[in-house]
Amino acid sequence: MRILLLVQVGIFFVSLLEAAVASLLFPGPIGVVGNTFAIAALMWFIWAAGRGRSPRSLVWFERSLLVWFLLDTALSLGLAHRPLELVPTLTRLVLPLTILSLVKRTRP
Amino acid sequence: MTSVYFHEGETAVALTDGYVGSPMYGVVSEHWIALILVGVLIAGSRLIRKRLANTAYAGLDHPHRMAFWLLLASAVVHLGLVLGHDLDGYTVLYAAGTILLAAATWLMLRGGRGWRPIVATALAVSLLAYVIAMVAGETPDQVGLATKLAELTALAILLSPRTTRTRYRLIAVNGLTIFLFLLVGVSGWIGAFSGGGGHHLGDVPTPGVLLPIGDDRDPTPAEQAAHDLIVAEVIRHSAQYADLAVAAAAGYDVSDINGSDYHAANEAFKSDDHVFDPQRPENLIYGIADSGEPVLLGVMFEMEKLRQAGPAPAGPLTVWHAHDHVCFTVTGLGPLVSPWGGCPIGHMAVPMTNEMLHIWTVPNAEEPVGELEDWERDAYLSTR
Repeated sequence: MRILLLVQVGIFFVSLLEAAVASLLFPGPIGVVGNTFAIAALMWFIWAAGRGRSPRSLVWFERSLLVWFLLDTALSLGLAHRPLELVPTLTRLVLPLTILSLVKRTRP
Repeated sequence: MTSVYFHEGETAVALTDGYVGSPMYGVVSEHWIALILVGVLIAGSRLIRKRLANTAYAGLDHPHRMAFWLLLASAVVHLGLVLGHDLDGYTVLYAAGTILLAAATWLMLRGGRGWRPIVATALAVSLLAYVIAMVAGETPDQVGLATKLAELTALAILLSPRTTRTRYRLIAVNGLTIFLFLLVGVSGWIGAFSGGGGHHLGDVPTPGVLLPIGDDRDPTPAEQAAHDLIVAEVIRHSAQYADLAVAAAAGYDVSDINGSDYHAANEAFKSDDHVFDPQRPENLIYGIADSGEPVLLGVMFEMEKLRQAGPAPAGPLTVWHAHDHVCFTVTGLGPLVSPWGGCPIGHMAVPMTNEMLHIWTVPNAEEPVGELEDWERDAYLSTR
């Protein structure tokens, strides 16, 4: 699970970089602040996972990622009539679901 | 299903009905066979697992079994790429990748001592080859990026120490994994932007741009005359908006002009049933000159409904475009959807916008309708 959380950190780091570049063109720090917060949270989850713990907040974190993905998918289907794309399905659906299933397995 | 549109050896992908976009958000047709093979692998995974009962696979822990399957999937994808492409230099490289990754998979199954660094090296070579290809101008697609995601995950598993007590190695592996995600992600952007560009029919669009499907052609004399008339009329009518007070009085939002490509919208004009009316452009475009003053650069017309094709009185000289995979947040625009498939936290991805068309009032612009090159804009702003 630690490694899958690390994969999420890598993905969020790319988004953080993009948000930082975009903030030079468009005003608003939301992307930078949001991704920094997500990375900090994931690092804490990784630290906890290294000690065999999976905090309840990890479950809510992953669930909120899933809700966000479903909203994006609904918008994509509604506006662009576009079905699921491969990479977002892996990074934003399969990855959180796998982490959640591992959390379930490790929790007493 | 995503289809492919070819133009002079380059590839764009039909991302949605009637439009082509960057292959980064789609699947190139030669890569479908790789996806089918992965589907076959998944379907046969139960059978394969049974056959592996007497190999070193049985002794692997769960993360390493996952690494094995990711490695095998990558080898299968590379095989699919060999089968899907005509024979050329890249096909030879795909074949070499297939052999390398298949050999690494076999080493994992054989077990024993010393397989881990060899398998990790094979994955690192495959990732590095991808990064080099992207930086050299190859455009990524969803199959390539998904395969690299699998390889990165497998590599992180293989490099990760078994115990968290080896703190320095853990920190090094974590840092390396994040660095590799950044490297592959950034190289994906480089490939996607260097492999596309232009607003003509038949061009491969850069990420974030959708063009109608069609082929470029020379304009007829009548279309050229229509183009010249439209441009002249737009320049004549919009000259008044060089004065911000006039623009504000007409309903344009010029209260916070910043940057070199500011679009001042007129919300009333966006739903007034006037389409492509030179006297009622939906947006004015300003840039801040070196003197610090806002300067009018052009106008942008916008269609009122999604998927509504803009009128093209000048044929191939009036090609409308839409935008896709744009991230929005409460404060407005953000970046494009990342190669890893998401927007920054707090953003939603808008998958498609209405069609739009720019007309530039910058004197002597190479293409008054369509795209203003950065150097043209910067040169004009520096003189004002």
